[in-house]
Amino acid sequence: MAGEHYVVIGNGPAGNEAADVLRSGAPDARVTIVSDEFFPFYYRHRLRDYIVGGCDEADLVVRTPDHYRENDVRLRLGQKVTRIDPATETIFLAHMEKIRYTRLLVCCGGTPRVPEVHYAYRQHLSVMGTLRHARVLRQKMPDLRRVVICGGDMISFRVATTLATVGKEVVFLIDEDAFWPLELTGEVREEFSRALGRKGVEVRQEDALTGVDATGHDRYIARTRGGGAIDCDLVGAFFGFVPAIEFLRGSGLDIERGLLVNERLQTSRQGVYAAGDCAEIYRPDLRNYWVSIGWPNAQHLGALAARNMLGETVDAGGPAESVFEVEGIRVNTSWWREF
Amino acid sequence: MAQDPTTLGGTLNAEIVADISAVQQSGLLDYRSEELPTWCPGCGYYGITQALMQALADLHIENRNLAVVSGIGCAGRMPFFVNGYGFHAIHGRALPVAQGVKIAKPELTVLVVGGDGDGLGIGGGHLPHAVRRNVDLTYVLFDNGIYGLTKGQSSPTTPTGQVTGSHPYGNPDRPLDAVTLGLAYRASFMARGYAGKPHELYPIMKQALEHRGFSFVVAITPCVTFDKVNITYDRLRESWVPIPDDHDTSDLGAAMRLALSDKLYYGVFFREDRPTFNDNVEDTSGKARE
Amino acid sequence: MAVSETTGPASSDVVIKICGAAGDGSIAAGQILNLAAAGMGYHVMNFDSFPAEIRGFGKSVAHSRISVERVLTPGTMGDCLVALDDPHSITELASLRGNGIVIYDSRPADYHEEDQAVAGWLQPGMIGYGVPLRDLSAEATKGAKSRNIVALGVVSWLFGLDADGFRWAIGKRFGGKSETVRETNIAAFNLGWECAARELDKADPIDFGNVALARVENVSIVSGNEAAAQGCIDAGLRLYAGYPITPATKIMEVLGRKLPATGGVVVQTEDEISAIGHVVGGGFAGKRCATATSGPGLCLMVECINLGVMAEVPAVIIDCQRGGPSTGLPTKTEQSDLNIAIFGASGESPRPVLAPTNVEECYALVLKAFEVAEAFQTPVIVLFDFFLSSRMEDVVWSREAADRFGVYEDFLATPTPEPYARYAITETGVSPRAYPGMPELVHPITGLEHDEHGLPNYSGPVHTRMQRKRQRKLETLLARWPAPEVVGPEGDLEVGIVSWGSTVGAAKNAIKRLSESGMRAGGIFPRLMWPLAGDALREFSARCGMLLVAETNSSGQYAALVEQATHRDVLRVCEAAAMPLPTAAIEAAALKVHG
Repeated sequence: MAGEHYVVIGNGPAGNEAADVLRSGAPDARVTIVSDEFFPFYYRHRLRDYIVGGCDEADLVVRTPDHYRENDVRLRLGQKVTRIDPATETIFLAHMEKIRYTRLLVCCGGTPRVPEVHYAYRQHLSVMGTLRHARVLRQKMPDLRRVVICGGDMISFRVATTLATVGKEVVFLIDEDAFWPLELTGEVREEFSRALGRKGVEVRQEDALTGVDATGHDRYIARTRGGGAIDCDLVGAFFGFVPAIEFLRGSGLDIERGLLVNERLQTSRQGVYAAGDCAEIYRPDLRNYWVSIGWPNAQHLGALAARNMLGETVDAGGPAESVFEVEGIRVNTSWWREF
Repeated sequence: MAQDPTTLGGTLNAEIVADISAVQQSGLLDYRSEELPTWCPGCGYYGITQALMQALADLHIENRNLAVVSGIGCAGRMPFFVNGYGFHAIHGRALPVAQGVKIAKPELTVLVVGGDGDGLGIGGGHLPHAVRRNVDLTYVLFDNGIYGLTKGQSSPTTPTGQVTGSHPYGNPDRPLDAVTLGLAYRASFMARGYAGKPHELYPIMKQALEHRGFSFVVAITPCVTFDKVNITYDRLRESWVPIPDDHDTSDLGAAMRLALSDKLYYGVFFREDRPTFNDNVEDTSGKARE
Repeated sequence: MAVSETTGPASSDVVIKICGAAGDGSIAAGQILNLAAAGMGYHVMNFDSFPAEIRGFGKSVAHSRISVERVLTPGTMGDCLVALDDPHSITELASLRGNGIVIYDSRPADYHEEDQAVAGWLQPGMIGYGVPLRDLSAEATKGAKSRNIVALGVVSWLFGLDADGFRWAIGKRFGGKSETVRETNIAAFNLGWECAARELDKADPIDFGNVALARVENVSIVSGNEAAAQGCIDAGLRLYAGYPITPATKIMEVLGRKLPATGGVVVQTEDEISAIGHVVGGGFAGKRCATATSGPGLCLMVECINLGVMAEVPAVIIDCQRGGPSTGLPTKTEQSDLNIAIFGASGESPRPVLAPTNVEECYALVLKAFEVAEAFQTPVIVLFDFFLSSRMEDVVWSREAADRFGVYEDFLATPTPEPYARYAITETGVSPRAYPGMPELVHPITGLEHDEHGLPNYSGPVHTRMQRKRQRKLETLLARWPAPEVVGPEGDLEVGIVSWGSTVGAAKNAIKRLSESGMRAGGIFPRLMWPLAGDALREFSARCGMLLVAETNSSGQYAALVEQATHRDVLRVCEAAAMPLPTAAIEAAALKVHG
């Protein structure tokens, strides 16, 4: 195992679990994690508290750089992968450095998605995918009075209720077409609206965003399908995530929305694996691909991918057992057919 | 304190009186300080000093512009006996000090004196460089083949086999020859004289003082106290040979052959005119100002 | 735990390092940076490090500290690293602050191999700015040779250091070259600046605000050695005799170029003994002469200096101290020649010893040394060290400013001929001096003990009174020389720091920091090391709860003298670790004992 180099792209839960497994399974090999974020491994779910000042950056950190030094894992922060070449088993970094790998794991997660219908005014929309986005929001927080939230992913609910708790006026537009990843039946919709309402959020059902005009610095008018023109200080767009795999185009790996992998999380090229939000995993019984999202799933898949990289043969299995609990409602998010 | 010898008690021989009178008029007394030399009676240094002072007098060197620099040794005492600005410096370092004096103040006449130990032993490393810089000064090396002041040890020019304080069984080493060295370094004026013949030494001294450039004069002299065997007046008188009149002083090879021969030649071996150190300084200053 | 990307150094005080292989132009870029900053009115200290090998294949780092206030120490850690190459810059990262900035080439000729890119080694917290240095250089100068100047353009934009100030400095730096050379270099600078403005996202807080403090046209960035040379020239040096030795050689080289135009002479002698011989000879002749050397050379010079003391001949000797003993550490700084400077000699050989604390004082004290040497008819040793000799600071020359160390021309008395005694006993110890050329005042001088007329005399009474006379000259000097600099609050102090030479900068920094943390701290910093300012030391010591002496030698050479004078034990912060003593070491020592 000496002389082998295991490279992991992504410093989230999948990448870290994988690194742990790789390190203990191959004590003599080199293990490198590459992340384009400068900040160390952090708790995404705490970002909503962070933006309202409920916690500080230090509280977000899962693992400090010391951890990696102690475990002999080379952690490269703030270094972006621009492309990979499976033929030569090399990845290329933006600052013009190339790294050869023996096995590569791609777990770079997703980036916030903005549906095409909103492209015209996307520069007025605020997203929250990473700490970078969160910092911006935190900075703006004291001056926000009224916030419009649209979209329907899990984060949107958490953010909306947190903002309401700290006294912001929150208008939540529920549009069944926008919901992701679950199908919004009338019943579920009602439950969500009530839950939001209890926390002080104004819910507009069957309403959608149709336009945003800037009226000043951090001042907007959000126009809705239902004819509304809401004067607000921020329009939050929470339309879920798309796998952040643009850099893999042209590499020879099979890609659709995400990076396609088999049950053992192997991509179409030898030696390259994927796990977490960026991967679409094949289900032979369905003859189709499924995505597993969320923190626990990422950990599980990261570890699994690592075991396969080490030479085991382990299948990802069926949909994840885990369910999300959102505002008291249990949601199964391991299955979706389309956005 | 110079007493008028003609007033000493008793009568003096008329010849002596005439001699004294001649000396008093020669001007060389102008260069004698009031200090009486501490050299042994019969020491060759008296002769050398006389020759030097006569030369200075002839050339009318002003006392205030005369600097005499010496090292350590019997010869080193000379600055005290000269009526000029004397600097009794440290052993072996007379040449550097003297060069400093002349380079700093070119209008001075700088005379450097020292013995063979001072000049060829501890000071040996300074000689070639003073020579090649061709600083306009006159270096008189009092060569008596012994360390006299410290009472009789071998020096760089002590003859082989001589019994001395440092070689009770005889000196095993070959002595250096100052003239050969001076020629090898290409001193722009190289001469040798003999303390026992001050009248023949004096014209050499005069030429040396007049020469523009580094004038190197080796003055051979006995040490009557510590060498009664090898370098003595008797032996020197026998072996002393003047350089032939037809010798071409611009021919370094011929000069070297004379120096290397078994005969002890005296006179001017070599002489050439080349830019002095201060000539070159003028040149450099000129270039620098452009 | 530093996880933030945005904390950074104060923008009024920044350390910039430019690192490359020999030939990358890091040193030249550093010089332009220094000149630009100084021209804008900032203070600058520069302490480069060079390849050890003569062939120069090693790492070259230009290290500049730019500050609103006079810079006292160069700073150990960098705030910004300009990486002109990768292999050497990677090793230089160790001396970059945890939240430091790296400027690197984003478009090298080819991909770096793994771990060979400096940007791949940035630690969390550091900020990397990638700029296509090579490509921009090729655009400006048809080749990669001006990457260093392109990088300066980036620095200018990033840190708000006025671009015009840089263009002026570039013009000045390439003043002797052709118009084309100047133009292409300015073009390279402009390309770097424009690219940075267009493409970089500034994420660090360093900002000088594009404001020149006060334009300084006649500023010079010079090293201690160059300052020494200027001091010699302004003193009317007639003869410099010297022998090459690290780190003093530059003094001879600068004088070799500049002195001839003034009518002075530079002689490279065959050894140090000849050098000091020349100097003493020239001093005897009545002219101002000097030499410069380092420890091993000073050892050789001791005998002739001793002659100068005994014969009362003026001479100026600059000793650029380096690691010792013996051949020691030729390219490392140390302050371990104090003992030999003061005491190096057989017999009782009192002579003045001066020690500048910064580059301007290298000029002023050398200038003053000639005056003191002449007035008191003695060799004067001026102690520099490798750090002072080679570091560069912004200086504006001023002869008048040197007079803050006293004026001594009144000691020059015209001797009267009859009867002239060169070593006449006087109250001050100084006898009216005649020298060659003066009529009717001829006399001999000697290294033997002598009477008033300069004639050798070994008697007890003569020796006693002559020794006292020579000693008395120094007492007179001490009485006239201004008291040592004292800093800090009046009254009692918890900690007093004594320091000298180049360590004073760090000592002053330490005092500032200790005071900020609430301690009553002060310091005393002599420039006249010998004769010892005993009264001043005792007075200061009496105020101090703890007395600490900071110097870069391992035994505490000045500490021993302070203890002797004050009759108390001092705390030694004395390290001979081949580098200048850092502020932190002095501060830590004070806190540890007092804290």
